[in-house]
Amino acid sequence: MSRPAFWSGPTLAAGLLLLALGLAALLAPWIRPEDPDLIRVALRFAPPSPGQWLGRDALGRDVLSRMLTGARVSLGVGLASAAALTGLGAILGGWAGYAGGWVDAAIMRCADVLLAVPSLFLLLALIAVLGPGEGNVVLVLALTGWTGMARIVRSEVQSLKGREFVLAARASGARPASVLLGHVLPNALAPIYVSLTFGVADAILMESGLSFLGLGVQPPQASWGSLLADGRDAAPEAWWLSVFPGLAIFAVVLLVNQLGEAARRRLDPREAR
Amino acid sequence: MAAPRNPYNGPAAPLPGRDPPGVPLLLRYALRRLLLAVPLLLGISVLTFALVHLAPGSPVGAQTGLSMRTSRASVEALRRLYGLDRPLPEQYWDWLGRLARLDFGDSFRDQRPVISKIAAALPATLLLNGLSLAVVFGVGVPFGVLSAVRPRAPLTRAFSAFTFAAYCLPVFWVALLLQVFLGARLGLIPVSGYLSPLLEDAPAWRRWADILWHAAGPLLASTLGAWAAVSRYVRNSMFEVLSQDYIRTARAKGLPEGQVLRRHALPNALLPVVALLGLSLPGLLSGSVIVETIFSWPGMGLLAWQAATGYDYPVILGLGFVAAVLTVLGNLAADLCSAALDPRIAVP
Repeated sequence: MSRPAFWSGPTLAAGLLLLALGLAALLAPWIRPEDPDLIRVALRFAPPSPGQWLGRDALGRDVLSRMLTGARVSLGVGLASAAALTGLGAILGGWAGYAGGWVDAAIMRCADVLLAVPSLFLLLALIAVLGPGEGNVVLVLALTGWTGMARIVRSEVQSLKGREFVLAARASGARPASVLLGHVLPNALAPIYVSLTFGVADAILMESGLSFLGLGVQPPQASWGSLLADGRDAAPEAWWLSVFPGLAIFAVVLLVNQLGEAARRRLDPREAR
Repeated sequence: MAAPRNPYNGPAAPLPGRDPPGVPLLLRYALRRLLLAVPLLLGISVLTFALVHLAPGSPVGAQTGLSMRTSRASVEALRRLYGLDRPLPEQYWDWLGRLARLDFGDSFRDQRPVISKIAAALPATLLLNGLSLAVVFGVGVPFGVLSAVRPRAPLTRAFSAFTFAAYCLPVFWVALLLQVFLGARLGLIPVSGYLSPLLEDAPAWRRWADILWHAAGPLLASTLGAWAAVSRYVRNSMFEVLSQDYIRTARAKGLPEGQVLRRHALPNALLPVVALLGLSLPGLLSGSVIVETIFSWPGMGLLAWQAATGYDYPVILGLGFVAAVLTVLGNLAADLCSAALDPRIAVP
């Protein structure tokens, strides 16, 4: 009854591709063909060709270089917001599940309220209030997105808190916070990981959506979403401006979700045949 | 109402928790759900109230950046509108009163009352989302059922790969590609807008046809991902039902497969879909922010984007509240429909 290794087949391929993309983003300042902000008016709207593999934009800037630089923002903000909302959701959900009573009620009612407001309306209101920019995007995505994670962690914690090892920790006099963080949450990590993976994909989509709408990163800084917005303003003949950045977002979201699906199948007892 | 008689052993004993004399079960359930919505609405009012206090001009938000956001006029207007210098409880009480009267003040941009701007934008959004719901469920449900019934057919496999990909497609990218390629290059669909200006005095059917024609792009963009999600959900629900004992019984007693599916599997598999209809509302409204903005569809989403980029706080807060109330009402309606179809849900 040996199960196939997790990292094999399509999952391994997705993991390797993502790793390569992450490395490319990290090394962008050294591997990009030219300065992403270098304006070469003579070459404006140059189509893809040797010298500018993905074409040039309205100011003659190299799209490949801008996408490599934008990957740092898109992937960075995606990872940071997913990490932030996971942390927030795990702590609040864990606290709600462990403490029960009015703490539980208060935290989960807050989650209900946040879930009732369509997320983009809430995001737009928060961005309007706090102002655009990378840091604020991470903040608002974490503030609005923790509810799903909190629900998952809460139900995990509720089922764990009656187990012997938790009772033993409490009996030996550990403080509630250290029981929760040191004994209960480490045993609830698997579903947290799965949900974190999907969270990264969602956050990348949200960040690029906000940047596309002009409410995320501000020019001249590039993210995949704001590059797409440039493509929107350009003539329809410059198809490379609206195809390549979108393809990048789509590919990353697809790969990340594939990892998430693989992990979910792994954990789901109904799928273990 | 007389209790149904059990023909085998005398009068049926009343089931526990069921139909005691007086208020019918469904009505009691509706009242209970309505009562539960009250704290939710209060929570939404607190959330919007907190947002007011983060806005520039209030003590918390005063330190931050851009000139547009902290211009003297807008700070003064906010102070006047929300009475930010009064004690907090008094302010909240006032805010609650405003929400109850749907009085969100006047827009900073054109000084029109916020509620009339929202009311003007509501029909376009409801039309687009109504059409979206019809397409999403009209296409997603049959495909989901089909892929559960024939899991190994090549068409099904191709379809589930496609739905997984479609689910990951960024809505704004799809919308952009539709607009640029189908719209601007090929001229197959209108690039943007709602009603051609030339047709404003045309007969009603011409105007409606034109509006629907303009909805093609936004509709395609907003339904693709949601449609994939619904069909995956239906497929899983159908899988679940098909593995139940009563399906095996139905097959064992020799019912034709078509009848097993139609009479025994489908009604049970589709019950959760009604609740999903309500749950998909926030996502649809969120999606319409992106789609409406790209296609200049004059609904709540476009209004929200204009308000957010123009720092028009009364409008964005009013929209947030109205969108949340719509969501709560939608969920309520979906829950009541579920309970009407499946009385088990209404049992406390």
